Amino acid sequence: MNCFDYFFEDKHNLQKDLIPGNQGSTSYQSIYTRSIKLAYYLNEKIGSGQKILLASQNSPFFILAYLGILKSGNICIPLNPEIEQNNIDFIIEKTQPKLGFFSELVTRKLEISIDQISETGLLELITNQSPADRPDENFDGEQTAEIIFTSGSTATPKGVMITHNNIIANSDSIIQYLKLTENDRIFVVLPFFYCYGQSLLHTHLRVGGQLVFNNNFIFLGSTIKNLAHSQCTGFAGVPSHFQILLRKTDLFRNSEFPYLRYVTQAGGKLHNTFIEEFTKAFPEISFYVMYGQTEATARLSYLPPDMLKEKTGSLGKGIPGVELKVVDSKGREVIPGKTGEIIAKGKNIMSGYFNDPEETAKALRNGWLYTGDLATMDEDGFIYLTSRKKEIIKVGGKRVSPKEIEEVIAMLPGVIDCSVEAVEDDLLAEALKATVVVSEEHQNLSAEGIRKFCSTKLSKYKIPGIIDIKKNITFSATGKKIKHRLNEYE
Amino acid sequence: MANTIEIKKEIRQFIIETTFAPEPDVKDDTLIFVQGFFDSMGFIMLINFIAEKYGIKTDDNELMEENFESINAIAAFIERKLN
Repeated sequence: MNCFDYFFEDKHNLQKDLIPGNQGSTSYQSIYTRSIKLAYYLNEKIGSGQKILLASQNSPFFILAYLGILKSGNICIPLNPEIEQNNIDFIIEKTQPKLGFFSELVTRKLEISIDQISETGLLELITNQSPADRPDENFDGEQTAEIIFTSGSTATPKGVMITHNNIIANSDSIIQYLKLTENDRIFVVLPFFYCYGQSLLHTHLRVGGQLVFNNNFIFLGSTIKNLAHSQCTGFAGVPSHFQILLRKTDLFRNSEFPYLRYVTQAGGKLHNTFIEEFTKAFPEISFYVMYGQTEATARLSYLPPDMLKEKTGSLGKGIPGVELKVVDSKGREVIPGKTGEIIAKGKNIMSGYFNDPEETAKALRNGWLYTGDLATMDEDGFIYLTSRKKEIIKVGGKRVSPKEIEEVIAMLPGVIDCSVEAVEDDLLAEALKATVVVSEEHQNLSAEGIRKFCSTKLSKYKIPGIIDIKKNITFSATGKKIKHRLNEYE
Repeated sequence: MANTIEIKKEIRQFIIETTFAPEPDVKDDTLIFVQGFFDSMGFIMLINFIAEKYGIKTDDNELMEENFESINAIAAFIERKLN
């Protein structure tokens, strides 16, 4: 089955708005009809099985383009709209896409060499396209639906291939344990170009729910007001969202959210103290701790809210349809309390990394996904993360790979070594600090100069706010030691 | 006390210095967040700049996009707080 048909089963004529407040322009019926028109256009223009880039903030444009691509049997490659020129060039080179859907923000700053469709272009195209019904009874759900690029242990991103069946399986599980229904409305601060945000889109489409967008979380006054007044039943965030809401402002704690039924937290460990603070302030709101990976479409485990006290600090157990084990280096299950690696099996596990058999063979072994995350399991089968490879820093909720920034700074003449780490920040939760070791001949290199150079290669949120320059040639050896120590700490 | 023209000039200067944006692109009514000149990190720096330069503390409930969306909006916000 095509996951598009799974989303819209029984909703072809639903008049309800997916995004409330749009007076029918984003009704399920309208989105369904227009997506099919787009799919038809894409099939005529490029066929199926081709790669198509999509870079936009969360918007009706994103949703329509995404669904049209899925329905057409082409492969969507969702990208951060803040992507840099060199990164998009790399992805175009690697995947050879036939087409791209880009919001204006993207096309204004980047030179893109492939055929493209803008927001206005998409609307014109759909208006002019005659309606077509496209039954896909024989659609093979094992086909790749999308390739999501993630930065991991290397500065070069890997393309995670997710199939239609992966999306269907993961959505079914999440809907089941979150008990989502057509009455649910989610407050979306997470971008759709990453898996966590996407899972919100997938699950709410399937149940006939609604989405409320907030693309500028950091305007906390507006964010909290919208959350309180939009009648949302759910909120999903990464640790920094909760840290910012609880730590930065009293407004959140002092507000009332009478419709909010639950919140979910994934994307890294949120310290227990924050969870306790939240549940104390809002005892009537269910708090779901979850864990997952892009390689698992999104979700692997959850801790039921009623187990929070008893199993504090645990990421829970496998979600419905997912088996989790903690194993030693030989793949044998470890005894309770002993540290091992989390491995996972289920219909939501990716088919592999795009054009990367070596990395795929490392991650997928004998039908199991090796997550790279170390954990213990207690006697009741609850899993506790002991260390997650700290490869990603989350600046105000945005994912940043320190290695990517280190590589850019290292390009500067005179830079001997560079380490980028997270430092605590009152508002952003995590901010970036670069420690740069500079050779004696280049001692005039300033923090401002480094930041300016970074601005030519990196999006603004990746530019380190703090730059500590070690201006001493004899420091080069020590610099290495600093980096080593930082890595150990991570 | 700084007047409106001075405040706008100072804010523009700060935006150009922190974002490395070309000067002609940053007009008084340019929507600096919508247009992508500023992101969350830029916003934090802006709040700190306003605090240091004008001695203004921004309250939580003032962290609204409409107060900071453009140079015009920021200058109006600063003047409101100073008076």
